[in-house]
Amino acid sequence: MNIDAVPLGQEFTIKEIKDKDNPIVRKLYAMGLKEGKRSKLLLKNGRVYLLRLNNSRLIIDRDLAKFIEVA
Amino acid sequence: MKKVIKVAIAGNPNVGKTTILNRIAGTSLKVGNWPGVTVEKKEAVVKFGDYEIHLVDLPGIYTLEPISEDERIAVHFLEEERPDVILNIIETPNIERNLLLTTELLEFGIPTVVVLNMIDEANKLGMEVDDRRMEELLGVKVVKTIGRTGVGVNRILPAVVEAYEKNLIPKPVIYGDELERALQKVYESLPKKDVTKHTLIKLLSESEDFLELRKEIESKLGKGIHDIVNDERYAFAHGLFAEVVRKKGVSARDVTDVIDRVVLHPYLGFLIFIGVIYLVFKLSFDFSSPFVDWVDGFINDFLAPLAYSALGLLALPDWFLRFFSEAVVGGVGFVITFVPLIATLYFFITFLEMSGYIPRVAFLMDRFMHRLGLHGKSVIPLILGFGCNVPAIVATRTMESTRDKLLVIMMIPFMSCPARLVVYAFFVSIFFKNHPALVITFLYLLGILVALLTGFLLRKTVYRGSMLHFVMELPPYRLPSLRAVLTIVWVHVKDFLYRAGTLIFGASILIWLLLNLPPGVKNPSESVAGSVGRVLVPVFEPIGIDNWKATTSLIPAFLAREIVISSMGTIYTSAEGIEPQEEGFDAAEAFKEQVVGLGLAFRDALGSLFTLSITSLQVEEEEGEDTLRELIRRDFTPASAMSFMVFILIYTSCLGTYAVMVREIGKLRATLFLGYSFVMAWLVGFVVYRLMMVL
Repeated sequence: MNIDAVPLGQEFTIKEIKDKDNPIVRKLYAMGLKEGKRSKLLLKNGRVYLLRLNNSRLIIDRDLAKFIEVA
Repeated sequence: MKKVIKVAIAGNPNVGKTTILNRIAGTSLKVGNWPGVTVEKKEAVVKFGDYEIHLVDLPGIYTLEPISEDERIAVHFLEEERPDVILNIIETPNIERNLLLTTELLEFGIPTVVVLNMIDEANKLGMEVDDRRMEELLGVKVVKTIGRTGVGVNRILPAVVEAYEKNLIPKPVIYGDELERALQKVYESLPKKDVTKHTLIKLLSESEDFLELRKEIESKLGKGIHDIVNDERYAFAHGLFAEVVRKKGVSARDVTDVIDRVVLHPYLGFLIFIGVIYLVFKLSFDFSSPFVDWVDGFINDFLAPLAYSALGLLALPDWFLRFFSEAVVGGVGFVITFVPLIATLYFFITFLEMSGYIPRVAFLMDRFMHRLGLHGKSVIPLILGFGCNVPAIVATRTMESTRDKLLVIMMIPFMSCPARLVVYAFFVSIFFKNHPALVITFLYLLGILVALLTGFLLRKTVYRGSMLHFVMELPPYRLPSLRAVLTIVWVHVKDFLYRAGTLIFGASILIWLLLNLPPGVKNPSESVAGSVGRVLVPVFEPIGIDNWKATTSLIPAFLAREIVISSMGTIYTSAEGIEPQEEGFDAAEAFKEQVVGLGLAFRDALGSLFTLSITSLQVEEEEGEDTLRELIRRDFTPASAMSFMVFILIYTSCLGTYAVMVREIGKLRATLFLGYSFVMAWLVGFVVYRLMMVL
């Protein structure tokens, strides 16, 4: 499933990140979003999500989130 | 001669690089609490022992693969300029992610000092970092700091010098066997052997010469070269993290998450945003108002009479006394009275920037900006535009897409800056005394509306196409220190005073000269300035600006918008002959009055903090007096004053903004935009004027 299906406040594990040749996806990777990492969906606002990853908080948009398979 | 050490300050965005540089070098470079404050490389020089240390503050990067322009600047410097020492600043609470960039930096093989910043925040989260072990594993110097308070910062320069003197090359980063073998093959095939591991990886990943080798390793490991390299770097960083970081117990409940639940609520958050903006302007107006009045009194009732007395004693010619009264007191002095307003507004804007609230607006406003074809991140430069359009335009360098950057740059000049507020404050105090807040709010909203309309028009015509993805890090909330906020405020005030002493003073002199040319001219309306102003009257007459004094004051306003006020001061005092009051001036008595007045200003300013509505700008003034305000009241109507303010709001009459637009988007686009903003200003001014005439 992707992040869209995750309920607010729920933790999830990043299973797969697609299209790693895409520079913006590689930036996500450098920001710490990587397979096997635990993350938490803090908030949703329209087409953007706020995720918690370790001690950082990331905003990503829905289209970008589609590249991320979670469990 | 001192020996020079070139130091590159590198790290992830918003880890405190500039804060540390300001601490080390005593500079006042802009700092804030969001990723992307520094978008240009900035250099500071400090003398330390026998060395002159050139510290180059680079924009924040997550990786050495740049996407946006600010990231390209940082990576280009590291790759091409070859610094003597790399000062890698790490946000310790997020050390695992930060170590990925550290790993990439180590590939350069340059003496490195790692700064574990925000160590206090990491400790609160239950993290402990073994700095000695880190030094041992990497062959680098490691320093623990708290940039905001300065703890540990004094150990950075000795570490830099030691790394340089001992040429402490970091231990080589060793990756997995397959990748190392491939890199060895690349190395062996090169004629020049003086290459870094970073270069070898770049050649293997990108060069056509190593296509076969690349395909070979990709098929062996079953993934693309970028994945191979990233996974190896990540594994190294993760291993290092596991080796040097210890977690003790459970971390405290995070206050940021609790605040965010309210502040970032899709509906409540929006109301809070409106409330924050209202409070910023309410506090700025009401707190500064007593001081504006005091500075006005200090200049006109103390400094000016004191100067007239002194000049009288020197028996200077009449023209010089007139020049002093009309250009210096009437022009520059008048603009300086607004310094308290500028300072207070910057205080609150800086506080918001340093607290971490500004990037939250990006999250909040994305839903709205999306309809314009932009994402929420573009809100940040737009908000910065309320502080000053120039750095706001430069801040668009963090945007990954050129289309988005161009769109936002063409919207920023409509964000009303404090220089324009000076003009509104002046006119509102004359024509809209009963509804100052309403009128100023209307002008700010009108600016936003024109910006949105411009964005919409451009997106439908010139800048079509889809937007890029939105990804941004949100910092934790931080309570900025008063010292840090005041330092930034002082930078802005100094800049305003500098402009008053140079650009505004120069414009006042020029206007005064043109008002007195040709020599012997009796009626200022027949002077050179008057003639130029009269030629312009037909252009502005349809929008209600039908006198040469107003049109003339618009010409030098192209340099900076507040010059409108100083020019009006000069023109009106010159044309209408406001006489300086110098009889019976008692310096000691006047000084005493000023001291008492300052005390009262403090009392009134503090008292204003306890009211909810905006009460300032309701200036009580005796009608019939030949003050500048009264003279302007005679030449304008509320409708023409409103139209004048609308024109000042929309027309990009600021040399600084035009210059930075030329640099960022080219001369043709910047000049076309100037023409567009003029036409737009005229059209909106016309509509507003006509509507007010009808109503």
